Amino acid sequence: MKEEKSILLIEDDAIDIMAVKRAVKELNISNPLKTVGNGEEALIYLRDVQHDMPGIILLDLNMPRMNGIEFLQIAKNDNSLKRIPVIVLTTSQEQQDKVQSFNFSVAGYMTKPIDYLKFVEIIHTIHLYWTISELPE
Amino acid sequence: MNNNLTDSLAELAHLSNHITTLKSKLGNPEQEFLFFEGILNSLLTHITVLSEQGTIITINQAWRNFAIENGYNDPNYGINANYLEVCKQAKGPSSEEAYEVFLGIQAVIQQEKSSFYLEYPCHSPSEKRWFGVRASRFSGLNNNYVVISHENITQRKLAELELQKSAAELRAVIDVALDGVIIIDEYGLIESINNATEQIFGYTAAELMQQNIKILMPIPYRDKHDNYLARYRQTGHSQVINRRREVVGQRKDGTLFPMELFMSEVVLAKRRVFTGMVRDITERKQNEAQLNQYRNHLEELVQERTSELVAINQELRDFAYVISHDLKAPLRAISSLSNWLATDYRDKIDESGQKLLQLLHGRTKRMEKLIEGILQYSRLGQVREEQVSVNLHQLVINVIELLDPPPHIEITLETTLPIIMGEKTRLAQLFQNLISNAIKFMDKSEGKIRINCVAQANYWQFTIIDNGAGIEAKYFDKIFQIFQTLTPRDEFESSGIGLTLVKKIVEMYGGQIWVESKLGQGSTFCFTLPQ
Repeated sequence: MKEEKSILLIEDDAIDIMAVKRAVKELNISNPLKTVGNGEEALIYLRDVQHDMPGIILLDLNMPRMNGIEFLQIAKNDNSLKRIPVIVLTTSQEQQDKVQSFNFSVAGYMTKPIDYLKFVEIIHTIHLYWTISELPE
Repeated sequence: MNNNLTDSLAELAHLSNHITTLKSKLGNPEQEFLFFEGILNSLLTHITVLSEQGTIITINQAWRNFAIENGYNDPNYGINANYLEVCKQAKGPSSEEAYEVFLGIQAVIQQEKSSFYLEYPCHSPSEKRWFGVRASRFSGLNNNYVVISHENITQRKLAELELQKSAAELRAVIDVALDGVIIIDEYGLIESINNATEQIFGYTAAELMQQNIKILMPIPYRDKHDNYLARYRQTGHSQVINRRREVVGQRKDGTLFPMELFMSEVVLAKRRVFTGMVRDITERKQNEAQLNQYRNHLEELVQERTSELVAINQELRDFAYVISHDLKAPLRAISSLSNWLATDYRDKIDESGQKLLQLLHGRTKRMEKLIEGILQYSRLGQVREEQVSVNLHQLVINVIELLDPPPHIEITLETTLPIIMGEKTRLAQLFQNLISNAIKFMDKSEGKIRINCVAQANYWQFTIIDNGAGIEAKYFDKIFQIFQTLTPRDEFESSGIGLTLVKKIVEMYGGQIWVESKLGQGSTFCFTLPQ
């Protein structure tokens, strides 16, 4: 991932947050990791001018107050937010969730594996991909 | 030939201009007599001419023959006998009619009537006979006479009786008919009705006769009917003739009722009449209404039940989602936490502690499989793919490749598998579960799995035969039940969902599945799919 850009993790589960933090640390990813607990908090964070725009968003779907799909609906219709790549990171394997997510042009859809080691592999792959991929300024 | 007759006939001849002309042609009285006698004798009607006193003056040949036939042996055949007295004093079966004839002739003679006519039965032992007798008067030059003409009218009478009998029979049939029968004339006046009509409308026949049919109809039809008839008379167009229709009738007491009407046009003796068959269908209508009510109620019930089922289905879907997310998330946490414990506290946890953490990790994997199984099972009935033509032979080859069986197990496709219509994923799941079970429970050093298919009457029968561990007959049903396994989970990581899925897929396609097996010798799974 681009050195200076931050990663925004939208996730309500404390242990899943721990898992991402651990994986990022284990993989020596230096980008700052910011965490918010649901879609509403994410919109407040992203619309706060004091915060830099993240280089990538990791989005959980099942969250309180505003879930991932509802967040996508707003963010992907917001000109200042819609180009930030979003990767869905969820437990759900429901076809409907996948279809809705890709309807909002997500950059990827990953299901969280039960096994932590496989989870690390997933974060590693995302990191590799985004290190190579170009992003608009 | 006597003079009386000659005179009489001479006088008769005077009566007609025509005859006057004839007379001049014929010339003399003798000639005239022969002429008229010839005419009279040629007639089939029995004719006699009486004097005003009733004395038989002359008879014709037919009368003479009739007398002979009836056993009169008088050589004069009654000439000079008094016919009036004969009739007046007649005895026997026809004496009443004879007396009536006597009175009739007397009335004609006394100029009370110009003529008299009577038909009467006169049955002989061998046949039924009827006669018609007619008396009429004519005046001669000096005297008045009476001509009696008498003829056998049996044939006409029999035909009449036959007609009357048919009419009576018809009437009887119509009267016992359950439907009302009404005959009206071209102008709507009622000519005839049967008993049922009286009962249906509550009028007596006498009340309806010659009434306009429209009194049996409610307003507004009542007011329009005359126009309908007029138009029909003019144009021949009708909405009712020869069509079965449901209309409304009105009874005498003013109540209305639904009735079925069938009108037809009949030409009777060159006169056009209309016959109507009417049936009170109140009861039928009530039944129909009740049936409708039942049907609507049933529909409501079905709708209610359906929406209940839809709700339950939705709950199940939600339940599956809850399992997929809400159970998996904590499970993932347990898995991650046990992993981090083992990693972060590697130095502090001894070997037996590490082993416990490993066991914990293994159980989280098993739990994950169970949850996956439930999800797969619950998804089966919900999302349906498009039905496409699937080459099962190719599909099974792909499945085998994917399963990657160990080298000591040989899998053979003994026959070419057919191409069928179905959902690719489900059919793959079906074969994958059965073949992977055969691989998983193979306990022989040379494993053999054989797959074949035969066409039956209207379905395909597939067979998957292995020489593996086999199953005891008492478990044949149990293995298809959800979460039932025959081996400890620690030996075989099995969710107990595979065969349940297989059974559900087969049954979704309308097929059947069963197993034949001997412990230690292998199993044969058979299932059918419709062609």
